[in-house]
Amino acid sequence: MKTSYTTTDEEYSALRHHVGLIGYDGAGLVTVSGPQATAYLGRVGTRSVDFLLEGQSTSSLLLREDGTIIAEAIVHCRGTDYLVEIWPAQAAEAVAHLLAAATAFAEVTVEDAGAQYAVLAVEGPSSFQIAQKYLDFPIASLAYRSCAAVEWGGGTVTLSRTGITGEYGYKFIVPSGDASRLRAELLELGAVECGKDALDICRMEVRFANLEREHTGGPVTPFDVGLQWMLDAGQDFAGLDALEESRRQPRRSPVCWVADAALETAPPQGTAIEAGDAEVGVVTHCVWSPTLDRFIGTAVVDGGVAASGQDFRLAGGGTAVRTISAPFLTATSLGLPLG
Amino acid sequence: MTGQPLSAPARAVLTADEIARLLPHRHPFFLLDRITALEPGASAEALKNVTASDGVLAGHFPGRMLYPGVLLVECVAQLAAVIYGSAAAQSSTGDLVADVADRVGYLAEIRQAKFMKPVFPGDQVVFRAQSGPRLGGLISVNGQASVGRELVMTARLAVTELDQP
Amino acid sequence: MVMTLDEATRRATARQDLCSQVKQLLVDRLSLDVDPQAIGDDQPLFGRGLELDSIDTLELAMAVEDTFGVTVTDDDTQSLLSLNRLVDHIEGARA
Repeated sequence: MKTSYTTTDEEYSALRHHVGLIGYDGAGLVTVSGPQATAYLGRVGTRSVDFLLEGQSTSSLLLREDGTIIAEAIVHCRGTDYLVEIWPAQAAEAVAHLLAAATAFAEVTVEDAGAQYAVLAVEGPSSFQIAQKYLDFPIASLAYRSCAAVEWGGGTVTLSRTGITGEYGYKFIVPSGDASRLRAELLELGAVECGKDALDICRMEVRFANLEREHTGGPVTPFDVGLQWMLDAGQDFAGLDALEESRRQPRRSPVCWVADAALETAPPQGTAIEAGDAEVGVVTHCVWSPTLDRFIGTAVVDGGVAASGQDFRLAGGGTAVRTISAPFLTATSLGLPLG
Repeated sequence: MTGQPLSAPARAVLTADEIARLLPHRHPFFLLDRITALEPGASAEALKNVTASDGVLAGHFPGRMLYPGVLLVECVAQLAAVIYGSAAAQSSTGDLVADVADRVGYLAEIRQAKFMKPVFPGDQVVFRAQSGPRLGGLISVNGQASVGRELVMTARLAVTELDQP
Repeated sequence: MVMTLDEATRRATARQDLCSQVKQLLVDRLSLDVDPQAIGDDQPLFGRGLELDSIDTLELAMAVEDTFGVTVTDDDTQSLLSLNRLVDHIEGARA
């Protein structure tokens, strides 16, 4: 994935106010089928897919045995098989992990389909108008986290409603050979190509964790990035034992912060956060929010001071940062009717 | 004589025919006989006479007729529709009754329904419903049913707001 | 003003206490199959996150009113975007 095509500001504006086109080059795609497919996905991922119906999608975390996150995966239930989709930066490790984990199951077929398909997405408040052109039913009927098979250009495209900007978002999983034609058509329909940097800002603003960038230099557990809600209770997933053990240890909690207007450059990851003279945490990620006109970010801080509404200070420059209640802002699409 | 004081059923604020202008429900699913108190948009009270000639009782159950609990809940839902229908009628025409049946809301949730005692043919059931908080197009409704001095059912419902004209 | 460690700790303790009460209330009143302590402060309540629906919202609003005496109306939908936002709303109304 490219970081930017034109300028991050222009691309950001497209995503928040119109419609952006995202090319997920290098996305991981794996098909899972066979009688044990559901059991396999419930073991390798943190969420059960037992009740996932054909045409529904869910997100799930893939964990290492030590409880740290490999990737967030989206699982699409297509009826005859499941299609598992992974963010490009984590694709290599996640796909290898999924293939290796399959050996413990006799009746499951797991195949790397990364070469067969490409992933393109439109996101933004008007993205649904483009997606509607590919559906023969009203777009409002394609609920959040559902997917449909669409005949297009002589092949079958899996069209799903998922996204990371908080805006309306639709993703096309298209046979590789047709990808460039679909991309051209989506551009023709008004979508503006957007890179990873603009996406990253939107993602932070609605507090969707960016596992590629939000960390303290090493692997993170779901608790470190506030994704513990993706751990299904009663599900015996890989990494569970280690996670339960690590929950008993004191650990820092994730918080969101907005910097004082005086801050001129983004503090690098690992910058200390202080209360009085004491270091209480470190910055895990930071972006410039054009809408808020401020640097905004995440940090992990000591459990004893972790709360929204705290006035801390960055080490070094000493700029004030205030912890806030997520999300940083409300997506434009919220309150905008579909169709 | 049973020795109990005879008291006439409460006077009608709305008759069955008037209820039928507020609700789209019809036989065999038109359940309330009379509205005896009404504060449009806020609360209401209704009477229902349970009779052995009600077709439902022929099947519920043969040889042991009793009024179905789910229909007691439905009575509260219909009473809620009277509360909101009469408010809509009042705001558009100034009268308690108008032809607003096509704008009726829907039942969205049944929560904490409890059935304390069975209801038999011959019972006169008094329903009371009270409108609660509303949010996001939904309204909560507290309802209860009693026969004489005994509570036979309580339930909390959520219903959707009326379609705007 | 940047807080001293003491001030930060005192304020966080009170805030965390209120967050815990709201988490427990959510789990109890909506009969969620979730450990209340595992709910994150910034966890979204709808869509991603706790995955509540609009019917749960009404119940949640009633629970908050019953327990904290704070009303949640259609004008406060921003307060339902995360647990922390809801706690802000309760704190603000009680202040």
